[in-house]
Amino acid sequence: MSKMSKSSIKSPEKAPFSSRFLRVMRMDWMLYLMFLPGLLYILIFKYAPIYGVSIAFKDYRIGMSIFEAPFVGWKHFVDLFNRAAFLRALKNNIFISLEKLIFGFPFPIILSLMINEIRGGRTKKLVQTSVILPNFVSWVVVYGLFYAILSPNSGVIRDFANLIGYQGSLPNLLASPSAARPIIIISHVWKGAGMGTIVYLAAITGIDQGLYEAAAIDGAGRWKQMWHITLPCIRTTIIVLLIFRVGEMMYAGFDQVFVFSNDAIVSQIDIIDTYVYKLGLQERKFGLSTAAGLFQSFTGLILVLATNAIAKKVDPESGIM
Amino acid sequence: MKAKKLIALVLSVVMVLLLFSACGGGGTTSTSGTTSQNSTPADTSTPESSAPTQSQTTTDDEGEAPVITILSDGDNTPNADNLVVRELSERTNTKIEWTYVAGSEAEEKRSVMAAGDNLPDLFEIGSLSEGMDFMNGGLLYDLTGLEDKAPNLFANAADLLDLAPANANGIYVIPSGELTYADNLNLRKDWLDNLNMAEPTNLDELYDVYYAFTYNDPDGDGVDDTFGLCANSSIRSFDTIFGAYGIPIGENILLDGTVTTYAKHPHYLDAIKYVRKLMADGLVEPDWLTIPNMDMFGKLWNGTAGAIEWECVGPTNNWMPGRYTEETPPEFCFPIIEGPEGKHGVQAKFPSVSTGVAISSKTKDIDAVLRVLDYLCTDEGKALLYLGVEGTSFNWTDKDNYQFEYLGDYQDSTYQRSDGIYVYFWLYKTKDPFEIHTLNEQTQEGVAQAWDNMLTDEAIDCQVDIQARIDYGSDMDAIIDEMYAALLTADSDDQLQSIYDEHISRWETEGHGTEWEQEITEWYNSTK
Amino acid sequence: MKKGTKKTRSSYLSRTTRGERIGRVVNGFFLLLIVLVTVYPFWHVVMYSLSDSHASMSGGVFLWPRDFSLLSYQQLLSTRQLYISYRNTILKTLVGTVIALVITSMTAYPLSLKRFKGRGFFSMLIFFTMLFSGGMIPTYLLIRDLHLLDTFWVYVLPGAMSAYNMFILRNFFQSIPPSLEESALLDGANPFQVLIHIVLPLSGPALAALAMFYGVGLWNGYMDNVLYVNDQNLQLLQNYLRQLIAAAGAKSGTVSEMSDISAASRLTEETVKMTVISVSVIPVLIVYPFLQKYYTKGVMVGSVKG
Repeated sequence: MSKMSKSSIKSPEKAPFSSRFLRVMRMDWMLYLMFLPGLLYILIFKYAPIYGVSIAFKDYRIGMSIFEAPFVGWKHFVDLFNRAAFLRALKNNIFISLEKLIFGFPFPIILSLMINEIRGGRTKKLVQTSVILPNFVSWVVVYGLFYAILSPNSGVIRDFANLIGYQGSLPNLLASPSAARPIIIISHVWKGAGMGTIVYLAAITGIDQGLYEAAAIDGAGRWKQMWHITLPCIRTTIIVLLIFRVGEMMYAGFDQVFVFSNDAIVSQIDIIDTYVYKLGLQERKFGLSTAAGLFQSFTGLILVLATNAIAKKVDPESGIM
Repeated sequence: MKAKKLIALVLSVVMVLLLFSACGGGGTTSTSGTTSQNSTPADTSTPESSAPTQSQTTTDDEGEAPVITILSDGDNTPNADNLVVRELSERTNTKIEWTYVAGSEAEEKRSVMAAGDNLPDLFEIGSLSEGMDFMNGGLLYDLTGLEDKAPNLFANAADLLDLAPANANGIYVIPSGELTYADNLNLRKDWLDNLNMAEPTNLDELYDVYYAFTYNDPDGDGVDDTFGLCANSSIRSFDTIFGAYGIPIGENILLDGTVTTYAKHPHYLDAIKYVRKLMADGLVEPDWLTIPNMDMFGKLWNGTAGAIEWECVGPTNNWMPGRYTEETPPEFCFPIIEGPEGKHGVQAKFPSVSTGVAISSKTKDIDAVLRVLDYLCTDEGKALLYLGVEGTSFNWTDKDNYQFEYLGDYQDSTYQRSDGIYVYFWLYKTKDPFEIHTLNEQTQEGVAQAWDNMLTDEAIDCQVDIQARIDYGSDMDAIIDEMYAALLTADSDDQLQSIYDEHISRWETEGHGTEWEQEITEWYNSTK
Repeated sequence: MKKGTKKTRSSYLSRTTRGERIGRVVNGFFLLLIVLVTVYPFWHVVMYSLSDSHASMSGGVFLWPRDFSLLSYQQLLSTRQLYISYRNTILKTLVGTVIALVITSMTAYPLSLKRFKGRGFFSMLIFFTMLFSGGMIPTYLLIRDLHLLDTFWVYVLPGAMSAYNMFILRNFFQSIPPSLEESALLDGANPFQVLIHIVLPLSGPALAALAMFYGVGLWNGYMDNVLYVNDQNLQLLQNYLRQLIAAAGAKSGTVSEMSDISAASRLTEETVKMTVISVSVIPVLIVYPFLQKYYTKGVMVGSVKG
């Protein structure tokens, strides 16, 4: 936003305001026309129902109108933060998200750079297709696969242990509190990398090839080209994705944690979404779950604004706003 | 100059405001929920629905069969136009539109339909609170005085009506009174025979059997590849063992005049120690904590495990013989195991008054809806839902004893279910479930035996709302479950007591268990 | 364009250092590893679905089908409802993706221009919807009031634009040199013409990625069917398949209710599940390579500029 005001202060120097304004309006009413469907869409489908967040402050039950539901103030929030299990989930949530960010975020970038280095068109396509495949396999199946590999009794690791002549007992990693989080992180990186890679590849493909030619003529090797052309050119994409990722900090992957969880490790990997889900199983708790959702959204918003501001400070071209 | 700048500013502000007001209009109409007036901006950006279907508008012309909408759930996918719905429409002189959703999404579906005042004429009620909320919201039809329009329905539910909390001031929810299956210990009889062992009757003998199943090659293939029993992370996997100690798992018990959780039973840790011994000696399939459900069944199907604690309907009926991989399918027996004090039993089930069926207050033709519902409570109606149409999909071979055979294509279960057979009965299961007659003889006996074997006297049936349970029920249950896993995976028996104490005190404080105990005890005393 | 790439390639080759050659080998090795690790799970699923249920029961990993069997495919493909739901899903995905791409690019383009007044405000407005939503019930009421319940349009309109994708596209548009647009404007082109004739043709890779995201989202989505549509004739593939394999869901407490297709048969739920996944993913895999050709084009902005 600051960007816009800056440019509007600067621009009058270029041309007299009146003629500039006329020209802008002549050209730009069409821009607004173009923008209208998207705006209407957002307003109708996203903003019209947004009054639903008020449920977080109300004692809403099915059968009553949301507006008639009695107002209870911060009751649901107080209730949530008074629950030891919620605080545990919040703590886990933050750690799991951070670990996913640290290990999971750079991976698609590296992967897309590597794929970009492939020469053969066929090979490139093959690799590109293969990395998105895990995305189509649901977490339930992924868990089944992890079980098939890690089961100390019937899994692949048992076969492998037998092969090298080890007959002793193996640890059940899927039920081990210390292994729980690493398994969550690894499976997340593996399953989610493909989609991020696609975005980065698109950005890399969009880079002006002339830049590389010029660099090659100047004697820059592949490393240098990657470092001085590719990365700077996809910088803004990286930052946008990073900001989004930070905004999702309070969402640590419901489907995944839900299927990987068991009673031995739940203390390590229970997250906000799984906890709130379990709350609702007993009794439909619209107020509590909306309150939890609102807390997640607000935290996300603050984190995004902060990241965005930092990004702008470091590099004025980046950021989402 | 300045004026023009101002005009530019005003113009752009007006533009934004215009957009806002246009959509604000859309917002308010949608939020008020009373006016059906459609916001215009939606029309400019979105093409109006070109293919509206009739299911929303219930036209009820004279002489024409009234349209009845029904919503039920289950895990099948019948064809849109199928035999059962067609036949039901014909027999009840209605036009049935039956929506079918997967079990896991049924509640969400009902919630939004209720919130949108769009409930179908006839639908399931899934829980106490759902019944109460819908009733309080004025969404349910009061059936008081209409009893004679649906004699079969009310005959089934007569003694249950008053037990449902939603029926305090009328008849809004008709409880099903369904009694779900209780667990059996399904033990491989053929393995016992191979090992020349008798059916176990107490915990010591049971240990010996599991030991022999694990180490004495019960299947005689010369390979040490078997286990005593398969289990998963649910305590239900050891139902008869806890039962032998007099503990009805999952239920409320009475302890020194206080109603409390089964986990506080004085013998709880004894049962845990017994299970730990089974595990320590390698008699339980070791993946129990992480095994997916179907893989656990698989251990039984492929002859790895010699026993499973589960309702016998699976092992001896539904999985027989197709699921078993051995050439001759296994034989099972259902031994009853006594504990040190001579107790025995399994988790108690009670006729459900918290689930049932209800009719929308918006329904146009109450007579027709009751006609349909009543028909589904007759033997003829149940036969239609479970077996289809006589002469088309099945024939009775001995009607009095419920002996039947499926005809032609209908012998194939896929074909059967896509034509609507065996998929719709979840709407309302009566006290006398027709389903049981479709089971084989051994299974029918097993089901009856399991119901007899329930720890009904030890358990306290509480199908009313207890506030602390509503608020903290999931926290309480989670702590008990975590305790169970922690106890079974503890390194030595010495740690058990401290793990137990720690979790029970968490249950009482964090889980608000003490609060709940007081409340439910009060309720319990008031019912006596 | 092809000529250009060839030339650069030869110039790289002539200059390859030993370090780069090693780098390339290491790179190839790692990617091979990644391909194996990412392809295997899906391979496992397909092989499992082609195996006999009894043979699959011993668990472990699948390199090839065990006791090859097409029984589950036969069962699944013999139900009429499958084709109805397939048709609906294909239609939904096609129509939905086109609508989404049109609206998203029309929204992203103005926001990518510095001279578009209010872009900061509008960006914020759109970004907000990524974090805050009204929830299930108000959305249902809205859909009802728009008379979209039980219509095909409910599948495509409520998700017509994702803020995430919009920002990705806007970001891509921003990387296009403004000089191109300016020259077109000087020639008297209006913004629509600029978008269609200059911006979009240069955005092939981004549009392909977005088409992929939207397409997969539409293909996999089923909650809109569950909540907004009662009519079985409008059923979606994923919803149909979910109901088939939901045996482990809410009512699995009683195994008396086995899922449809495998009930009382030799087929296990696991095999059905694997078949279901294969049946729903293979079409996506067929379409994806067609999108990929937009990736390899490589943009030669320089030549256009020239």
